[in-house]
Amino acid sequence: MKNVPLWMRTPCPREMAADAAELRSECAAAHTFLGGNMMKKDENMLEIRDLKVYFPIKTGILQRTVGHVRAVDGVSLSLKRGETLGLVGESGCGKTTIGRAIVRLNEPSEGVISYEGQDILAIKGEELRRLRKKLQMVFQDPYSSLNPRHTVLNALTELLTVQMGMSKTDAGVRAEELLHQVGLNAAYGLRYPHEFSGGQRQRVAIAKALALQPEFLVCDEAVSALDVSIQSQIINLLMDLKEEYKGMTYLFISHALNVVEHISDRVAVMYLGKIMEFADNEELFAHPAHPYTRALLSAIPILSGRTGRERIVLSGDVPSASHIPSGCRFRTRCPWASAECAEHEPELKDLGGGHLAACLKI
Amino acid sequence: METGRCLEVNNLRTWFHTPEGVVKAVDGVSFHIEEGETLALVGESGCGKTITSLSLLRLLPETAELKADRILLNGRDVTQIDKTEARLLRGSQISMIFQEPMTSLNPVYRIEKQLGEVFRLHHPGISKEEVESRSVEMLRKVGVPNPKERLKAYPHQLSGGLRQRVMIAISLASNPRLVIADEPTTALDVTIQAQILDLLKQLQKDMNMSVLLITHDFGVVSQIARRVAVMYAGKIVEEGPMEDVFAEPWHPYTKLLILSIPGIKVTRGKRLESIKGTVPNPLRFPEGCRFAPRCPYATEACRKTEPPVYEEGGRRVSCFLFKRDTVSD
Repeated sequence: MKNVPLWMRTPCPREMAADAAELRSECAAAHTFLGGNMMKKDENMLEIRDLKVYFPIKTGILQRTVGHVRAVDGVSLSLKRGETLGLVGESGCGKTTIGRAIVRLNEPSEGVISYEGQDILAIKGEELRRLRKKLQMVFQDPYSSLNPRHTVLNALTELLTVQMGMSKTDAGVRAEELLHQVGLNAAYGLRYPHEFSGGQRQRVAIAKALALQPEFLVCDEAVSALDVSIQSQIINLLMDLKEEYKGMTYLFISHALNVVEHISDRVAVMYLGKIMEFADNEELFAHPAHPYTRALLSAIPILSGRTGRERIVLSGDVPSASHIPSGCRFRTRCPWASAECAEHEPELKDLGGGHLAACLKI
Repeated sequence: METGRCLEVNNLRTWFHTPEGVVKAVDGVSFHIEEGETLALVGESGCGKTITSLSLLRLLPETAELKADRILLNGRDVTQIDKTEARLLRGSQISMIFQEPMTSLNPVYRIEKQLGEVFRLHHPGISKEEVESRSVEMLRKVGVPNPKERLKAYPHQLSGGLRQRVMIAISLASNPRLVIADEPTTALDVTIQAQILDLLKQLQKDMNMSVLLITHDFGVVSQIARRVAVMYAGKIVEEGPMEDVFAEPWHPYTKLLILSIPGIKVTRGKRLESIKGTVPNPLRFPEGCRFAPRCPYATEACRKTEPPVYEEGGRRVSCFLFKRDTVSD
């Protein structure tokens, strides 16, 4: 008889679950302390309409503009309060550019981004500063977004005194709370960024973003650089936070479809600056319509093994965003492409139930 | 060549002597690879998987101390040879595909020169025309379109996927028996990753090579490996046929590692299994089982004594719980 260790048959003692419960109650305490109830349901919190972000290509001694990199080329999205929208695509598809445009780190060439009905591209000065508190971003590499010469506690306290107008003592208390909330011991606060491991640094980065009590968090490849065991810790943390701060909304940008599937409510698939497909999480993974989404799903070893779907390996590379193919931009790699694809650019079509796809063949 | 073991590693220890103490990056690792087989070495960053591969290639820095009962590469003991012999071995017998092709290709030389070098080195006195025709042939084999023109390109003119293909061409040009692929697809997009994995599988079949695949990605493992060895803190904690280990991991670390990957099972919206804490500092590995401080099943015995290796049905595991249970069954 084959020997199966006993522990495999018994459920794992969930020390971690106990920890999470403790963390959760503390989060709730912190939340009441802040006195904020951000709960408002079923409204579009953030709306992006026909967003275009072009970067000029300049050459020569006179720096003449010879063309444009069309990083984001007409994207419309809306996020409801409290939802997690996954934004997937390969590198260079413009997903990060959208995230950065939302927090106003780069200026769009065209289009509208409105936050709770307010056009955020039009505001500046004090108003923009206030808005930025609500919209925070967690970057892929936390090392480059932390000041190496400040201890973590210092950095957090400064943030709280300057941005939130807290007194030094209050800020200190709150900073320790925040560290606890992201699962770090208060003693860690005295450390410098280089003294942390990658996962801990990412927790610090999340604590910093949370310090300003944001309502909207752009997570740009926030777990991509981490080892799997650490990655799952951070994913759990992000999901716990959402449970605590009701109404917290995430734009979760990632190339890892399995992570996006796990965390998102709705998913948008991008290719070369445009959205190819958009649907509810379950719908998208169960019935991908667009050939690009199908190829992406089948290319991910873990997911392809599970679904037993046919494996589609795309040929060639993603074209340059400065020379986007005519018609459908995916046609150069598409297994279904025909002559008409080169002539007409497909629009997003509703396939029913909010499932949108941009393909002439569907 | 007769079929048999391509590589046999016995009790490999690679230690680094640093001012802070001895870092036992690899500490008693044993495994073997059959002719034409793919073994995946899986583990998180810092577990010693890359140092293991560099030890096989004898590419360690000066501060490293390499000890092993034996490392047999096609019947030859690699620990006994000197630097010159080691250099001859690299390329002809064993070669490596690195993770980041941009940093391992020389940016100031054309592909032509970097690929041609392999032929010139391994076949002294080879003619210019011969080098070119073989280079073109090699690039075609790894699926580079327009190989003739690509030879004139510099690495920065190629896309990530093409660069990795060129890298593979260079590694395989000398027709090695064993290829070490160190995270060959980590730096690539998923659709390109799928292309490269297919290519590696195809080439392995065509050339009947053995492959040591080093990765942190269980998904990649499931695509191309026949056997898998899981490393943690400088030791192999579990080894066995890929399907068996996946279906029924014996070591708690393997189990938790697999469960912590989103998407292996449909876990949408639920909490993921995660492993508490972080990988231990290699300067101060814990006593007893090195995974004990993070293991939810650890007992007193685990924290005191190092577990032995239990072998059964072609699988190996290093965990007390396995034996205790066998007895109780």
